[in-house]
Amino acid sequence: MVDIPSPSFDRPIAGQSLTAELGNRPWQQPPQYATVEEALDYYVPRLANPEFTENLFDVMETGIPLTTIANAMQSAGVMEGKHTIDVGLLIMPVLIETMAYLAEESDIEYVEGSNITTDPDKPSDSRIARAIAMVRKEQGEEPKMEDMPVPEEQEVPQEVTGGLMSRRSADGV
Amino acid sequence: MYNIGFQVLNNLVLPDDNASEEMTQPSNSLLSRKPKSKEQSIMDLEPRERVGRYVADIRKARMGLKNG
Repeated sequence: MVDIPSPSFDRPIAGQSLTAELGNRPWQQPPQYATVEEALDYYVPRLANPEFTENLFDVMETGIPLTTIANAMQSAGVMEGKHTIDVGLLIMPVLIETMAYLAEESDIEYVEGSNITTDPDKPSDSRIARAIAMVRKEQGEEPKMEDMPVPEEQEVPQEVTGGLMSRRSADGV
Repeated sequence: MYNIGFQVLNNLVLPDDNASEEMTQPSNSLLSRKPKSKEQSIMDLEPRERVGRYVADIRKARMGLKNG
């Protein structure tokens, strides 16, 4: 079946970014950590913190991929004004690798999220939809225009206006 | 699904372990260039190359854990 994009309502309202004074948000300020190394010096000790790792392992065991966790971490850093989006994306592989290291050190099972497996024998939805459309076309099953029900025209009663500038009808009224 | 982490990991450039190191003899002449320290040479790289090196180092340590 073809994917029909559904409307997403989990988005900011148009103009919401203009509801605060420019520069009031943390991400509109210069970042606290400007380089990859500075940002890693902020993240890696936190990752190694036993209290944090305990919660991290709980999340890992639920099956959430490391890529998703790392993305959430760096997005939060951007929102707090710790670093820019660029630095956040750059450090993501290091965060993922560090989390994988910590998990393997503690024998925790995790999903890395870097290998999306595709079954070569299973055709994609769009290919199936195209094949069905082709078969229908060959078999002549396409709905024809003459088969389509035509709605009957209904007479719309004309309102008689009595204004000075109103158009005169054919009767001259 | 659009997964940023997946894209980032797939586009990561890891350093080639088999790359041959330069085996040039340091020159003793007065105007010769000083050999760069390892730390300095890492900082001269592009950020994504530096990240690739960091990832390779951690991965190496992780593989060491796996292999005992």
